[in-house]
Amino acid sequence: MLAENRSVQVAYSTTFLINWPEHLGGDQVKVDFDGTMTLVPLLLGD
Amino acid sequence: MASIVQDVTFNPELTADAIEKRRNEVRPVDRVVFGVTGLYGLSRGSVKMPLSRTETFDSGQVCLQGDADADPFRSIGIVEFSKRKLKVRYAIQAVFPGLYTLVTSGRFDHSLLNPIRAEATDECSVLPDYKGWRALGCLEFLPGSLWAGAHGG
Repeated sequence: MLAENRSVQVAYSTTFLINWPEHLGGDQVKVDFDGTMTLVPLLLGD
Repeated sequence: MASIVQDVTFNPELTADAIEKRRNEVRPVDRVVFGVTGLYGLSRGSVKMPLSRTETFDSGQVCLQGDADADPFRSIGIVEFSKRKLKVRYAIQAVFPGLYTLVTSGRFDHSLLNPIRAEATDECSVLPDYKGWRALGCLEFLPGSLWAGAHGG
């Protein structure tokens, strides 16, 4: 789709591992996300 | 601002036909620079968020959306099909519904509700069927909220 100069909506499923700053205890947390985003072609090249 | 004077010499091969031929030329596309819009996401569950070294709260289901306050060119990427590589950077804001209980309890300042902004950069391997990618990324929480300075990937 992008190569045809057309926008494409993609679904994503991801896990972020976040390190908190020391003043907030410095622990880590994992957060799982599901969502979507739209990729809009701006410039095509060969 | 410095100005540059560029000497553009006359091209004798510049004709209407040459331009038309150039316009109609079909070239294979291998790289595409793209913008990221309409970004949304929901967490699968609640997580423990720190308020201090010793105190936490339950975030509730976290909602992500594209950062409307960021320059649109903060959310941009490039895909290179022949190498099946994709690099993308996107600016996001996160909403933690659990903050509502904290703020309305009167124990915490309403500034906790300031937008929680972050920026993520992912370097991805596009799957052979181009229907997805595997990402290795970095995430930075931006200044403006209690959680600024948090980072990860």
